Amino acid sequence: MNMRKAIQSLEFKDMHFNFEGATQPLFENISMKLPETKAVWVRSPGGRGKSTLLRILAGLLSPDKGSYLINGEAVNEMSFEQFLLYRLNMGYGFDMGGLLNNKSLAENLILPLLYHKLLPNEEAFEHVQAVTDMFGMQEIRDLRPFGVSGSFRKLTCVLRAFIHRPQVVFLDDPMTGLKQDNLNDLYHFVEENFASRTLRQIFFTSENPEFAHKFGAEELLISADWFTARPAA
Amino acid sequence: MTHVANLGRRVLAPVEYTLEVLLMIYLSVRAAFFDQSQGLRTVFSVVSAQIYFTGFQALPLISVLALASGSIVIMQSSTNLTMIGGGAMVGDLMVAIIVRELAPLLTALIVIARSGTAVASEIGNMRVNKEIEALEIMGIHPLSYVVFPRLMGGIVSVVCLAIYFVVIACMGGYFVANFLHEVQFSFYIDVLARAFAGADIGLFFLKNIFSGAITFMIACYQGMLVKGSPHEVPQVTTKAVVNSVIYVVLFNMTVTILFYLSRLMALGIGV
Repeated sequence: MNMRKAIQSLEFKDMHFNFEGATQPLFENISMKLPETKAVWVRSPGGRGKSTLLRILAGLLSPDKGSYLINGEAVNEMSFEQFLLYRLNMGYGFDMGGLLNNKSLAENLILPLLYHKLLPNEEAFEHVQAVTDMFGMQEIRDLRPFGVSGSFRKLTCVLRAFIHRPQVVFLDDPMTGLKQDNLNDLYHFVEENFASRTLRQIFFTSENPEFAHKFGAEELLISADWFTARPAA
Repeated sequence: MTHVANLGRRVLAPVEYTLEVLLMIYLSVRAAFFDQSQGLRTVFSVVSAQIYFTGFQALPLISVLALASGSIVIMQSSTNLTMIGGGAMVGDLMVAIIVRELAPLLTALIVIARSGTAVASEIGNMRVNKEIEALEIMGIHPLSYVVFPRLMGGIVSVVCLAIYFVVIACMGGYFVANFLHEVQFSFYIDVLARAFAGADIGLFFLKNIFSGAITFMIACYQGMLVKGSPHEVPQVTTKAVVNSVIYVVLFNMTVTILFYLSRLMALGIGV
C-alpha cells in the first residue's frame, strides 16, 4: 500500500517566522519557489536561520503568517494525517540528538518502516541490515545510542533520513561529527539513492563546502527578508 | 484597575491550565484513534512497560503503607470503639477510611512521587534530545505514541495498585485484630463484607481512575512544555508534582464531599 504523495514543488508565500519572545522576526515576507536542483546548500550570511528554515520545510515548525506550500497546498492548513502523506516522502537528519534513546540503532532505523508498514517485516530487517553493513555497523547496530560513539549516533540519524526511501531529504549539518571513511560511504550511499530515482532532492546546511561540491549543489542564501538561489561557488 | 486585572489573571490561570491539559489529552486520544499505522502492539508495549514501572515496581512501597494503614485503623478503632460499645462498627470504619479515602489518596500520592516525576522528566528529556521531533518527522504522532499509552498504563496501574492497597490493608488489619482480640479470619472477612456497599465500589473506581488520569495527564503535559533546554527538565518535573498533588487532593475531596452530601440527602438530613 503506497500512502505517499509525490512532492513536486516547495514554495513560500509571504512567509513570516518569529521565535517566541524574539524582538525581531527571523523571516519576514518571504515569497519564493524553492530551487528544484538535486542538491540545495542552505547558507546564511548572518549565520542564523538555516536550521529553522530546514525545520519549516520539514513541517516541524509553522510560519506565523503567510504559507509554506507543497504542490500548491498550504501545509499549515493540513491536519497531521493529511500532511503525513507528504511527510512519508521526506527525511530529516538532525544536527544533534534525534535518536530514540530507549531503542537500539537498528530499531531506530527500522521504526518508520515497520510503523507505517512501508515494507514487509522481513524486507525491512534486510534493508536495515544492508544499510548498516554498508557503514560497518554490524557490531554496534544492536546497541542503544548511549552505548556508541557520537559519530555513529550522528551517522544513524543521517541514515534514518534516507531509510524509508523518501523523495526529499533535509540534512542539518550532516558532516559535523562524522568520520572521513563514514563520510565517503555516505556520499556513495546518497549517490545510490539518487541513482535509484527514489531520492529527488536534498537540502542541507554545512560550513564545509565538500558536501555541496560533491553533489553540484545550488546555494540558497537566506536572510531575514530575502532568499536568493545561485549556483554554488 | 491593575489589581483587578492581576486578580483576574490569577483566577483564570488555573482554568487556562486545566483547559490546556484537557485539550492535550483530547488530541492524544483523537490521534490514537485516527492513527491508522499505530497498531495495538505498539500501544501495548508502552502500556505494559508503564504498568511494570508504575504498578509492579511500586508494590513494596505500597505494601508497607497499606500494612501500616490497615493496622492503625483496626488498632485505633477496635480500642476506641469498644470503649463506647461500637465494636461492630470496625468493618464500616475500615471501609470508610481505607477503601473510600486512604487507598485512593495514598496510592495517587505514591504514584505522583514515583511515576509522575519519571514521566515528566522522561518526556522533558525526549524533547531536549529532539526525540519528539524525530517521531514527528517519521510521521509518528507524538501524542498518540508517547502520551496516550502512558496515560492508559498509568490509569490501569493506579487502579490495580489501589486494589492491592485495600487487600494488603485488610490483611494488616486482620493481623492486628487477631493479635489483639484473637478474631477469627472468617468473622473478620464477614464483618468487612457486610460493610461493603455498591456505592463504595463505585466511589473507589471513580477516585482511582480519575486520580491516575490527572497524574499522568499533568506529567505528560509538563514534560511536553520543555522547549529544548536541559535546565527546564527539573523545573517542569517539580511543577508536575505540585500540580498533580493539588488537583488529585482537590478531586478526592470534592468527590468525598459530594458522596457524603448525597448520603445525607438520601437520609433526609440537612441539605
